[in-house]
Amino acid sequence: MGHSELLIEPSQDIKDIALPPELAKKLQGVIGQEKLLFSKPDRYAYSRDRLPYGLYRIRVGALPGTLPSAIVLPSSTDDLVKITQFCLANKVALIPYGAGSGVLGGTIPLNGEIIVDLKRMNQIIDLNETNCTVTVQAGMNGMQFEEALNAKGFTAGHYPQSISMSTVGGWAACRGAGQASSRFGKIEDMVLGLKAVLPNGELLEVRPVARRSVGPSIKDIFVGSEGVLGFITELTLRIWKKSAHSEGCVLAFPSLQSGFDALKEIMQSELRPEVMRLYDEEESRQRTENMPEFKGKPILCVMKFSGLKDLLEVEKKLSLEIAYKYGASSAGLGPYQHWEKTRYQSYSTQWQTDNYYMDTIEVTSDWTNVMEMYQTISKEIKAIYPETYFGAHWSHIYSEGLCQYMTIRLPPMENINAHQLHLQLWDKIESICLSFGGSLAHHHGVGLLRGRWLKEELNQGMQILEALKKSLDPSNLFNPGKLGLPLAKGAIGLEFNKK
Amino acid sequence: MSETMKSLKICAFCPNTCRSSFGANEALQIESQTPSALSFICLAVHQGNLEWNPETQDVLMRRDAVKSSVGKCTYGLNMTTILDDAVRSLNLR
Repeated sequence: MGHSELLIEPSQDIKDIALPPELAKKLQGVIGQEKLLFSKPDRYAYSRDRLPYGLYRIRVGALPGTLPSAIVLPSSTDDLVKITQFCLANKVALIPYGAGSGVLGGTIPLNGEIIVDLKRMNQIIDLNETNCTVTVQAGMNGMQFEEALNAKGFTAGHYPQSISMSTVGGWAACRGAGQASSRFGKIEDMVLGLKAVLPNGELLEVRPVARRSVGPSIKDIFVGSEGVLGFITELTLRIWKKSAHSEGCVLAFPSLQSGFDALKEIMQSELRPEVMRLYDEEESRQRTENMPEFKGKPILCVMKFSGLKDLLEVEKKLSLEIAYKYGASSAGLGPYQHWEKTRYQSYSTQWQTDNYYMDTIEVTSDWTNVMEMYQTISKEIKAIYPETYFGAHWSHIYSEGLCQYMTIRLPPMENINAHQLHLQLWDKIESICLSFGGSLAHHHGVGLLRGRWLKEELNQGMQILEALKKSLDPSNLFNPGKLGLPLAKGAIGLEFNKK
Repeated sequence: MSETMKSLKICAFCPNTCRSSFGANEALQIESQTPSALSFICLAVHQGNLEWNPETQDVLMRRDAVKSSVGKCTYGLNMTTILDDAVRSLNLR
């Protein structure tokens, strides 16, 4: 495939597909004017999410897709049922929207879809201290949710970098991960039950129970569904007692391989550091300047232990013994403190405001292949464009494998050239990852940009996903064109999801 | 580039890291009145993508979330002041 095929005429025109006046009036009758926004500036603000490709276009006065035709601000499940029935009756497509912090374009309108902003559905419904569960509406802000739990002595254990600017429903919709995933799991490990409004307007409830054996998990059809199968309205999550004790440490490893060996052994020894972060030489260097401990041992590893004090001390002692066995030395706490201070900052004024082309790509590898996969990607990226910045770290660590989180950055150049190179880099990284048996996404989801690789990832599973979509949403009205599924007729041609 | 324009760009492209400072009441839960959205709208006027008309001016006056963000910006911006400056300069055009 020629890379130019991926670019369908980026246009500076703003495509404004407004709702016909009779439909707008009907919608007002259904939901009420106070829950609707039709003005062009409002719709303009909802036309983007945090897809880097979208940012590159916005910087030159274009938009990633079209304007949405209207914004709906529901405050209840009843509202969502009404909106769904309206859209179904009038064959109008919609996009469920949380806080728009996704980086794969999952909420970008491509054909004047109605945006349904769920942030008014933002209450904790129930905190069950006996079962250690919480039931929360999908639109609640992540940080406000965590702080409310903390005030009662609990934690969700889910701390994504985007915690302040994402919603709990968004975490589930894109199958996200927090920085303590090695200890608490990803969001799919935390969701016990959920409620949803299906594309036909019916209500689904997966009751929260500890475990069940009643066929395939319906819950898991919706966790990661990215708004294509309905609205997730409510989630019941597993929660934990908040730790009173925590302790960080910093290690210098002689090589990346020694770091991998140590982290693998720690996880396979059933130890549970809350956080383990291993950086490649490039990313280590930026964090360890003027630290003599890293001379000759250039690989940085940051760890955090938490929990009951006695247990924490034992886990730390045993984990460090493993690390030392692989040649690590303890180092000053500076990099740990810096990470703690900046752990929820996901925006770089240096690289994103100005005219660089930055993106992040996170994939999953097993332990067998991670080193070779990293080396191959690193080499191939430079072969495509030698001035590309490339750095990686590994911060979601499991006994079977780990997430490789990569930053790529192109220097300022003509937008059209950058678009082509950017997509070439994505193609190369995803294809290398798949060739090593990995998964093309660990926690950012698929959205718009990753759709074209999904068939390769899922093989015959793609047919199952398509069949589910056709069965639940035969008119393709819920977030069309996302998750590798077909675009709506007439949608603009950002053909990211074709291969 | 003026300082105001530079700050607007920083804010417009930021994913609202200040977002959790907005209260949970209904009026604040509108994406298009977040600091980043209002900055994005101002830039759109400068870029010629939106008209400087009463509709746009009204949207830019919805400042509840912006007021809540003062003192909470990761990058030290006071978006109330910056948006006021931006609106003033758009009025003078």
